[in-house]
Amino acid sequence: MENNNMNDDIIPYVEFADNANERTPCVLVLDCSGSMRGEPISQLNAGLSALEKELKEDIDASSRVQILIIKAYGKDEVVVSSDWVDAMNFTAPTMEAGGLTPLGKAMELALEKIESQKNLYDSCGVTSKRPWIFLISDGEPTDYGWEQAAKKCQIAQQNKKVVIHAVGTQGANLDKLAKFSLNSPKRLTGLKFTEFFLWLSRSVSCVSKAAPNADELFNNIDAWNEEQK
Amino acid sequence: MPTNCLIILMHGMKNRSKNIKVLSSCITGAYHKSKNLPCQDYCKHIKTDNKMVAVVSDGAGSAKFGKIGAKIVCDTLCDILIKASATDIKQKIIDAIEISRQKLILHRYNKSKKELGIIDFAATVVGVFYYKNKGLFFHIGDGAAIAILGDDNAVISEPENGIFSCETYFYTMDDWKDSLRFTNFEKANSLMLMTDGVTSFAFKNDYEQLERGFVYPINNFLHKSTNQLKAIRALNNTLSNPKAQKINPDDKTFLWVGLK
Repeated sequence: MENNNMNDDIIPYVEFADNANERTPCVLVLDCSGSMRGEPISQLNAGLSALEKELKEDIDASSRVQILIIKAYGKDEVVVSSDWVDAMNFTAPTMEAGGLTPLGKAMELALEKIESQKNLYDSCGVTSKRPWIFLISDGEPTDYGWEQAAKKCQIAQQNKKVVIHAVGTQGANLDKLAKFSLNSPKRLTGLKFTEFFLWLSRSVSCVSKAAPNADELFNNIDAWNEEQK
Repeated sequence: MPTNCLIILMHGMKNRSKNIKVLSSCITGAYHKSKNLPCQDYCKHIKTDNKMVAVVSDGAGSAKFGKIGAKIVCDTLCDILIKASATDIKQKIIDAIEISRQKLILHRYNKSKKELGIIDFAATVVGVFYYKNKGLFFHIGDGAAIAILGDDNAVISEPENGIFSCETYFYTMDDWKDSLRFTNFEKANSLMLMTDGVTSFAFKNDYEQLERGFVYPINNFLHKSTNQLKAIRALNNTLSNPKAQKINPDDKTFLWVGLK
């Protein structure tokens, strides 16, 4: 007798391999200048820890998202605080504040790191999503020639090599941060770094999975964004 | 059963040529289902005794009318190419895609009535023209096509993405002809066309090798099936499998052709 139960009919022995090994690279460029001392840097560190926890708890994001953190501080110094690492192996660095805000240099380094990582993906046959850079500052760039670096960032975005978002805390010069991105900069409410990084984790996770609601989630920034009036 | 299956069954039942058997499934992805949104994929085929045209298309999620773009290109290509001879078929395919684009320019949702407005209908194209043991895949963007020639022998039309995997190409782009690819094959015993919701299951990471655990069980099952309704139901249920939906929440369209 023929089985008419629709749900019982299935093709046997079919395997669903998860071949989506592609990576979603995400760079955080963090302003760790002297003005971030005290509560701001504490909140930033708390936010980074929340990011680590959230990404590791997301099974998909933990294997698909890669993180790199660049610190801008000191006397026009930029360093990679955490080099490219899969989210599952990411350990949030503890940032310390001091010195100036060489955001131009930091963003140039971010572009270089993205370029070399893309070459590595290609040589290994690993596909990747368009990289994200988040520039987070409580002030404005202080290094010589930052405008040229900002121009390079805009060109990279126009050429669809990267997506850049600038986020400023209270007191940040959003007009100057805007020069780094084709997207309008956002203002963080108070010191809601944790809310911001939780949002970032969920957004990057959605993008890494190619979830169709990624845009929707990405635009939902109420938890941390101070609406510009 | 997904809502659009009924349409697919009708296509299958209308065409009863003995040498070419076509079965297809168009499954709404987990996300669209949760939001009660329609599947953005579309597929169509038309066949005679020794000729067959089939097209699957994925309407871009980012495009306002991607589903309409997908339907128009499937309908137009099938309707035109089934009447075409194999001579100079590549040019006929190009002309048929051009006609699809013209339809979009005149579409009532294209308020500008200009070429500029057709990007709102962005959709990929994976199609096949088959005539007397020989075939030609035509392909714009992601998704894939496979001609299985024997146990370990297959001709593949791979997905084409931009610099990054989240970017692909559509027949609505200005430079669509640069993205149109053709792949010849002959003496195949099965063909498979699929949108990107299925490609990660059907191929190894490099897209040069088939994922045997997916492709061959389906191919064998559909070849042996004698009850068309039951075969399509099984294909629908297989692609709707919760594991498949979890790995890839995108819409899934899979069109299979058995050839004698």
